[in-house]
Amino acid sequence: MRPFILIAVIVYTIGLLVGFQIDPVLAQRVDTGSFTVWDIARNNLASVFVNIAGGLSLGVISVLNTAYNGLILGYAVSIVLEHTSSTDFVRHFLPHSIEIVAIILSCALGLYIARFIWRTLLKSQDTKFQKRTFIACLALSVIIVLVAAFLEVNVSMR
Amino acid sequence: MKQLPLGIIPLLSLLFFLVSKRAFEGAGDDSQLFTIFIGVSNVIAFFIPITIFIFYLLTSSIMFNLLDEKMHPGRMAIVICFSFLPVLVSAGVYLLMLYGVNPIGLTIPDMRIFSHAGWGGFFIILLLMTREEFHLSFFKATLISLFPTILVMGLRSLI
Repeated sequence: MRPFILIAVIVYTIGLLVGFQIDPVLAQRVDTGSFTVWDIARNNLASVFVNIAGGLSLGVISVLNTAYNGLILGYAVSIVLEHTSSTDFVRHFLPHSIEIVAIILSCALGLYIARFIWRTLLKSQDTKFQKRTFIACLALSVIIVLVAAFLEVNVSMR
Repeated sequence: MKQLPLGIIPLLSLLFFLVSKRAFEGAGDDSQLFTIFIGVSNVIAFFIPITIFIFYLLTSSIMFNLLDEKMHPGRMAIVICFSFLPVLVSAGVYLLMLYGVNPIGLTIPDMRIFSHAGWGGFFIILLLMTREEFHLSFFKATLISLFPTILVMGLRSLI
């Protein structure tokens, strides 16, 4: 699983750097409504699900979704840093930043599925699917998303 | 000639890409962020048919195993490709409509029904052809072609 995690980190970082370079557009309306833990967890779980299911597209959707997640974060960070102090940013962002780990881990799982499909379906090679590692990483991603959502609502938003 | 149905998938991918591209034209936002979003959406749209194709190939293989039946991946791939024909037609009509070619006066709500009918057709063809091609009972063919989708939709509704 390690090489896939490394690829996912690179993809996310590239997205982050690209997002940081995008010209900011001033929003006319900003939804600052209150969110529940489940609202946030559901959104991130959907992203994790897309990353894993993206393995069926031979990893293309996983990579795109991960890079796009990084891009949005980079974009948001560039705007926030322009308007608030870095202390405020760290206080509001750091507590739930562990959700990035879940996104990267789920991308790695998607890439792992992609390699399995590539080898078994397209190259007819006999490849063993590491079920235990896969399930452990999947469970870890879900737990991280739930913890991150809890922290976002109860720590970051306070 | 036997591999010809496999051409349905790239054709459908191209249609999905063109529908997505056309749908975003004239959105009236030329910011960098939105342009990237459009690009990502278009590429994802292109890969949706391939993703669905692999999903049904994999889940069919699992279901055949669970039901103690033998599946030939090549034959199953062709069954899935043929099942995409109604979706291909609905995507083609949708694309024509987006380009203003609409001789029978379909509206967007009509297209929604038409699109659902396309996917309905997908499942009917998948069920009937799986049954016919692998000489299965109606019950087993239904389980193979519908159960994985129902499972995923069920999970999706939970989130």
